Amino acid sequence: MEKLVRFSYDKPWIIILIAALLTIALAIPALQLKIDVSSDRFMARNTPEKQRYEETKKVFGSDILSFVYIRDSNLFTENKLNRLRLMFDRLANLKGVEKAESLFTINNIKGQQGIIDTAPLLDLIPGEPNELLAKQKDAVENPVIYRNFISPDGKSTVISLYLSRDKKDDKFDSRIKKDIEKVTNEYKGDFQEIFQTGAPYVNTSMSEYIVDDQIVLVPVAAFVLLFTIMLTLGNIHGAIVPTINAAISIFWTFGLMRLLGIPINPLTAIVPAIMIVIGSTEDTHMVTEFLEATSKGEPPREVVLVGIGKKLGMAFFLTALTTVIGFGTIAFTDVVILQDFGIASGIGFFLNFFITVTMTPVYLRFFGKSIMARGFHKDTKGSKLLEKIVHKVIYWGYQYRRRIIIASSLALLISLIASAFIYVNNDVISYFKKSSPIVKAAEKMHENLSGQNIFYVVFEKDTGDFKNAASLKKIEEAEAYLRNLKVFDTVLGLPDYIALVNKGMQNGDPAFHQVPDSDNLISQYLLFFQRNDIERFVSGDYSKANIMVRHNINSSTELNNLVEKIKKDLNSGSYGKYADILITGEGILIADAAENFISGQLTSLISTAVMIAAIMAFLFMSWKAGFIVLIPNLLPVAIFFGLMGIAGIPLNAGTVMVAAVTIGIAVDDTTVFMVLYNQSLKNMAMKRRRLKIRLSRKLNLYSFQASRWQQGLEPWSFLSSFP
Amino acid sequence: MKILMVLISYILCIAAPAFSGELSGLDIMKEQKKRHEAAREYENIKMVLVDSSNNKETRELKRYAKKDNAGLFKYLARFEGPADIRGTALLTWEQKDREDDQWLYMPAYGQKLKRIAGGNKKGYFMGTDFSYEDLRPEKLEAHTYSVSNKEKYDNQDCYVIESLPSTDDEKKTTGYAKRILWITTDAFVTLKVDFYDHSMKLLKTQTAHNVKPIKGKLMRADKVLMTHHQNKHKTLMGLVERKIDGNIEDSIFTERAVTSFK
Repeated sequence: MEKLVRFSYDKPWIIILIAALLTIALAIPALQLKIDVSSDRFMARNTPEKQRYEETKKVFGSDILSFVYIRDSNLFTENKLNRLRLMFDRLANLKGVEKAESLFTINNIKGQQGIIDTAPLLDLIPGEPNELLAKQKDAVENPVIYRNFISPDGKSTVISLYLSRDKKDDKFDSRIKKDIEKVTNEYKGDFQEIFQTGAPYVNTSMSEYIVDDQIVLVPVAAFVLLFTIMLTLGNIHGAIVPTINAAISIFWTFGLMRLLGIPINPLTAIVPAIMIVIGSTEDTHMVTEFLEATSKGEPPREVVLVGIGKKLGMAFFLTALTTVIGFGTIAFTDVVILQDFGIASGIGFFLNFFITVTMTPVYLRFFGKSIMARGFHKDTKGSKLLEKIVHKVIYWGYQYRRRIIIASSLALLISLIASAFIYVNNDVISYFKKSSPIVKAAEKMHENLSGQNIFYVVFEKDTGDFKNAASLKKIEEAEAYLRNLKVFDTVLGLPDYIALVNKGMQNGDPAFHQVPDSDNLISQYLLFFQRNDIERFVSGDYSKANIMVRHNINSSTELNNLVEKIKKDLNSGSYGKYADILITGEGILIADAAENFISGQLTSLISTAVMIAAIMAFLFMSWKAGFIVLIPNLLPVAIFFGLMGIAGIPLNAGTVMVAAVTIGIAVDDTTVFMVLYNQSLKNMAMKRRRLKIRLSRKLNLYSFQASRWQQGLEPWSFLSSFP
Repeated sequence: MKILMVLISYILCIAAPAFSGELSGLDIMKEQKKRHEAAREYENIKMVLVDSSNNKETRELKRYAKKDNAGLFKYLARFEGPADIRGTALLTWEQKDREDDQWLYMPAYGQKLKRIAGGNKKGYFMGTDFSYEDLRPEKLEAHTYSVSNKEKYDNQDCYVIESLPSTDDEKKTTGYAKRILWITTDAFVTLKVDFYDHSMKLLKTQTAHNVKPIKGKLMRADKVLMTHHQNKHKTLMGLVERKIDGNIEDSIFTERAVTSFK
């Protein structure tokens, strides 16, 4: 450390040259950094579950859908339906649409007066109002169409577009969203309400929000931070140094992220802001040390080499090490978005440390005199006020240490109890405010039709088994079980189609709305369908049957619990014996990945805590010291989790980071504090008196550091995409 | 400029007689109907359905067609196998000014025919990629035909004919906004048909293979493949046996005959 600082101060042009070359080299990748908020990143990568999900998609098709919701009180009029069909045809032909379904494609199998009709509901659009009303009634009464394509009042419908997303096409979501929007915009005047929703819409909206938020967040965070530094230090250089260092480190981090294939996503998007705030600590320490020492008449070079390189070097190194490892360990989870964040933030903090210890001496070399000329912070109003507060805090801390320990222990206890009430949520929708159009669209779909979340329940037997009445009846029972849970919007499977034909063949008698007993009759009923009609519900060799469930459950905890219960009940044997029962879907994998948040969080916290304890134990040659140091680090984290539990804030990919950031700051301050304390212990005989003098100065810094944190992160509460 | 005008006039003079001698699209279709329509026809077909995952389903089908005195056809398509659908039959009586009458017989359902509602000619025949309208005789009066090109297909000179529905009823009820037919210039056999849906997107392609003369100028393909591009599904119909103008009793197209099949 000391050598690096010395080299940077003595050979500034070499450092500038290296920095310039690296900046140029990383410029191209940095400028090509991509935004990727696809739901794939919210899942674990390369797990057996993910593999089975991919295999299931190959058999039963994609569960990635775009929906176009249409509502009109006069929906079933010739003119409106003709316009709807025109729009449907155009949407069905968009690039990337694997399959399109609507009232115009879904078969309305029905029988009456000895005649069976197998045509799609709106194969022909009737001209007579009474015929149109009859069609509307048919739609509402058809269990396959009801709530899948028509609302209970017959006034809302949906066009479902099954999408085949090319994984190499990272612009797929935004393109299809735009294409759909282009078409629907042309028909806006035809219907009272029309909007799109579904995965591409949600993902693209999130990307747009992230970009919008970045445009606001980074400058605001930087401004608030620099304003605070200016206010407390009263020296513009104290603000310029961290700005330059943060800008370079962010740029390099972006370049390396691109080279490592890490995109901007909801989590990595916050890395620049965190780097600005956390990264500024060391810079500020260095400028303060420089100002402080030079104001006493010490020569600038000695100040940099001894005061910064020697005295602060160890503290900075340990701070950087714990921060990098603390954030970096998040990368060891299975969830891609957490891996991205762990790697990006780890790289970011490493680069920031490196740039700080090399570029700051360079800056001090060139602008040292100017900094000295502007003077020290102690003359400013802000710093005087802060100094007063710090002195008070130190006094209280020392005077009432027993009470503080008791109060902290109590807070810890309450927090631990309250944190038991935290629930996990990994749903993408939960990232948006309740008032956002995305959430409103999802709610409207759920209320009038069906939720946009889908999962599959796949039963596996031998080839041809799902043509048999006995097997299909068991699937029918499984469907009834799922419906009886009364938490899902629609449950659909092959038995529904067979039951519909059976009822139709019996002149619409509702008593026959069930799978018949005869195997041959089922085979003969299946002739009514083209493979395309039933491919989502039964495999081509009839060895797998699929129940498609649509719902609006956004809580990962709730969904995970439900899935566990369903798995247990379906495997009880009451619903038949199978080679396998698989419950899968994008939403299921995302919810399942939420469990990784807790393990990831624990890994990060434990590894950071162990590291701090070990470092401090080594520094003071005492395990007790290592343990004591953990208290101020873990207490804020525990209180944070306790408050989340009390306030009902879910643990999601966003909030999970707050704990990491909290411990990151705590570690930062604690390390510097303890290293200086250690140096003081070694150097001073009158340790109590000396400690008070020394720490009062450092705590002064920490207090504005903390206030900067608060102010730096405050703008986030107004952002669009983060809870 | 003068030279160019002379050249254009020359080309027009030379070319005009050649075009005037060509058949129109409708002429070609009429000629085809004249040559290849049989009053009585029986086919034993092996049908293979292939889905996008290459799962195959094989069916055996017997198909009877007979023209009545009014010039209208009656058809019976009956599955011979596999065992679980054996006897399932579709009976069609062509009608002149209204939708055809159709009845379905499912042995497992009971000893009676079930009438199928009209107006669904674009519906698929028994889960295959052939719609009901693909299996009926070409309705020349309900379409326009224009020769768009002449080109080689499968090493044979073909007329490329664009067929569009012309009547309001046909426009409403057909599943196709356009068909492109490749018809051989010598034998007037359709080798290929591209079917376009109402948004002008290619829906299906039908190709004929092993086309052979059967009787006089009448020719038939031994294999017909229908590829459904949008559904990624195929149906191959391969000939096992065929009889043209053989003896087919009228009674075969009655409820009694259909339901008494063993």
